[in-house]
Amino acid sequence: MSLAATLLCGFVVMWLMVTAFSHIPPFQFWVSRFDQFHLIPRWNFFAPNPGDKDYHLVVRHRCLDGRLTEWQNVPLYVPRPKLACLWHPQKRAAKVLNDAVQSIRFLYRHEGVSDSGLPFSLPYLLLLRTVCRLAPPADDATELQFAIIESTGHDETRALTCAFLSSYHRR
Amino acid sequence: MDIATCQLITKFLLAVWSLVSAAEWAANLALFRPDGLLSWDVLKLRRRLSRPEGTHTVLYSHRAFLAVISGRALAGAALLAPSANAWDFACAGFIFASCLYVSRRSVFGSDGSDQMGMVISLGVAIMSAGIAFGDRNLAFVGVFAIAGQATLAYFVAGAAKLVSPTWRGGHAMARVMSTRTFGHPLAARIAAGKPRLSHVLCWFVIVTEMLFPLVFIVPPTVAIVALACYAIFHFANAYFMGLNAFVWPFLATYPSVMLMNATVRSVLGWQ
Repeated sequence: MSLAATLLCGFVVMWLMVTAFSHIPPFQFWVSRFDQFHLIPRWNFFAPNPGDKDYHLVVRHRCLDGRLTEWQNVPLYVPRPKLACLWHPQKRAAKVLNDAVQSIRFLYRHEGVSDSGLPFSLPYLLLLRTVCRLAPPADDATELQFAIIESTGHDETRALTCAFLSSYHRR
Repeated sequence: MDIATCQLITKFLLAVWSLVSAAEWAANLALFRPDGLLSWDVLKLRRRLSRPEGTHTVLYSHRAFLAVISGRALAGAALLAPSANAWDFACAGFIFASCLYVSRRSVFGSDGSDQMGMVISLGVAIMSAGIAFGDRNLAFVGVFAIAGQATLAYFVAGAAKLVSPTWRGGHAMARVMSTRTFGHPLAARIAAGKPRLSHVLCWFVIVTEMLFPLVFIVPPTVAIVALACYAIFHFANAYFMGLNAFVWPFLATYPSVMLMNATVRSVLGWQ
């Protein structure tokens, strides 16, 4: 066996072992901490918690006189096209929102980030910047607040719940 | 199947995935613009990049992202050549590097197809290097890498579902199908109307995913039938869940799995 084959074989064995261990909770933290290029795949598709919610970003404004505007949907992605089994670029924006929501939940539950600390986190800043850009304010709007709405179901009677409510931010 | 045939089929499927994924990322270029959802102006603030350098701004701009994605598409097109050639290593290597870059740049929005695409590109690069240098052992390391990660992918996916009360209780399928992001109205109606069927399907997915390692020891004909069933599973996911990009990289693992099947059975003296 050549030196190159031996070295690469050793690397692949290590890679497979680290991948296997990275799915065991005590090792997950350490692997994700050092794996900056995501060289270690995560294979737990839709488990243990299946993606059972749709997420929507909504925003409202507080006007000069203290009045609150209606919640307004922030259009991040369009519904899945009929030929999504062949061509489905829209899934990326939906996945970004999904990942951002999961990241906010992780910061809350596992990293102990407080309400006052959350606005300095990456997913929060991404969502805040997006609502600022995509939601045109009322003429006399002074502040904005965004929320993440969870929904499930395909028809118009589906239930909506608020998963996250942001602080008010000056426009 | 010999390693050369395995490399040829795998690189063809990698090429298709590269073209599809590059086109889909390019269609989402707006996400990466300075005012986009994945603006680098915000992402550069992450903890490990607390001291951003000027080069980062250029390297991770939306123009650089488009250049890398275009390079992936070109490398994918070059891999469509119907024979092994000296460019295969460079093209697969570039696709692998582009996977690392996209993962680093996007932070959010990548999925399992991107991970398996990375695995396949690394495996094809190693296989191609082995074939180019006439080193069969080196080429086989690429086969081993792909087959090993494929086994982990299916087995871990099944094991993670097994420890989940939602999957064990048979509710996961109905819940996923009732979303607009990953579900399907027809499948949601069937799952809601026939909870027993939904329960059986959840356990069917758990068991079949966890049984994947058996493909290395069963007779080749059985392995081919089993892999055909796994392929149908991916086509069904593409149709019902919109997971179109998963099909190509997961199918690309099957030639390596078949080659490992022959090797394992030969080592065990079963053929």
